[in-house]
Amino acid sequence: MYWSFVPLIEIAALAAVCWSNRENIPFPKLIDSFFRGYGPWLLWLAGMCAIWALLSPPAKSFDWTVCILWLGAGGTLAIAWSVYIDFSFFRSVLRRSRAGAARELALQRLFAWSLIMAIIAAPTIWSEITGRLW
Amino acid sequence: MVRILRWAAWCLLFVSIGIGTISDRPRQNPQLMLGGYHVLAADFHIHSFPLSWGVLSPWDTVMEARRQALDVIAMTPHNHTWVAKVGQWSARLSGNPIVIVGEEIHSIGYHLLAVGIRNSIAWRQPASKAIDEVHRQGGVAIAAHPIASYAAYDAEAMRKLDAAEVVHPVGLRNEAFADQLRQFFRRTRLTAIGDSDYHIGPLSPQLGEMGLCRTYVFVHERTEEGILDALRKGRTVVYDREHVYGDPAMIQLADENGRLRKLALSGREPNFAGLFSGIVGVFGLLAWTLTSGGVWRRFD
Repeated sequence: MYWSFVPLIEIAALAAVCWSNRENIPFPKLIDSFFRGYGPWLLWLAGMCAIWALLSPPAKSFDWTVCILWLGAGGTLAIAWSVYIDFSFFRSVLRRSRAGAARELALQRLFAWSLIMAIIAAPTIWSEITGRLW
Repeated sequence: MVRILRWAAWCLLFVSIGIGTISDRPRQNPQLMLGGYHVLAADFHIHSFPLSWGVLSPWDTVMEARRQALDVIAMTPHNHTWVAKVGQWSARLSGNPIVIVGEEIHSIGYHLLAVGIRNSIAWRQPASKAIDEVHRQGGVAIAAHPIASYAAYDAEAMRKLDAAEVVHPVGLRNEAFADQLRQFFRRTRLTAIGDSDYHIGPLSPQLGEMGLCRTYVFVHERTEEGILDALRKGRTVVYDREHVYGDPAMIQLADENGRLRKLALSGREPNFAGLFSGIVGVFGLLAWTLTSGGVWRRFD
């Protein structure tokens, strides 16, 4: 249940960037539409579940390669696909221009992902960054 | 059609969770006594949610440790201790396993496990000074996964270090890393440690499940102080597929008995019902995702 902080932060970031639209579209409907962008992530996670249920990545090289490919290439594809869906959301549902949709999508991602990453791994990220800069 | 598929998805998920829950068998923990010592299965390098790339909450971490038949865990969040303190508090409610508060000092060039400390230790300092602080707080200093890129311990630090991870999941698949771990371990007299470095389960394929690599600690008393004392005195045995590391007297005790080696290398029993549950669950997830409209449906 504690991982529900991810959708909660996504909703908060959406509210922050769409605040001016709160009277045009009911916010619950806005949230439902926005979370269509989670489909690719769910598919990617289903793939991870399949790998973990059927393979042994820590012990076998082939299994490890499959896992790394799915993590890297599959994850990149999920990001790109969800960006496309979210961009369409800002264009179609919120009627933004192309530039406006791109700007709000970037802002929403920046707010949400920064906070999510901070909660998951803040102390490590800080020491990794400073370690590489020194 | 979509409604039927959605209904089927819920059924598959329900069946998967049901079979998975019923068929799950915790790993065996026979509570060995050898030569007058209690032999405890330990994992001294475990990360929880949040702040350390961990997936399980501190209380779920404790439950998973019990499921993996670990008698002792050290919770070692990155550069802080409070998550470990929450874990220790939740373990005290159930009494098992023993949870030791620790920290992985995530520094530049070295990662150091501070096990049995009270307060966070700064990471911006040389390994030698960090080890001094671990000892000042009554803890034990363990070099974490000291492959070449994490082995910045000078001669002074090596003199002060108590222990090193000689068996770690990075070495299970990569013989070059396994060799680097062994070379570091042989640099001086160190207590042998095997840890899983548990982070985010499936999303960290190089690491694997909790307790995948473990340390057998030979203690006079099943308490935190008894465990730390055993670590300081080197009373551990660690197995990987071909090698055994640790105190020669304890290795001899273990060899005479024979059960410990078997236990260490057997892992969990194959669970075909669990495998079936996993496959059914994946199909359920796929069906649910594809019928939820989140993948390709256009916005109205």
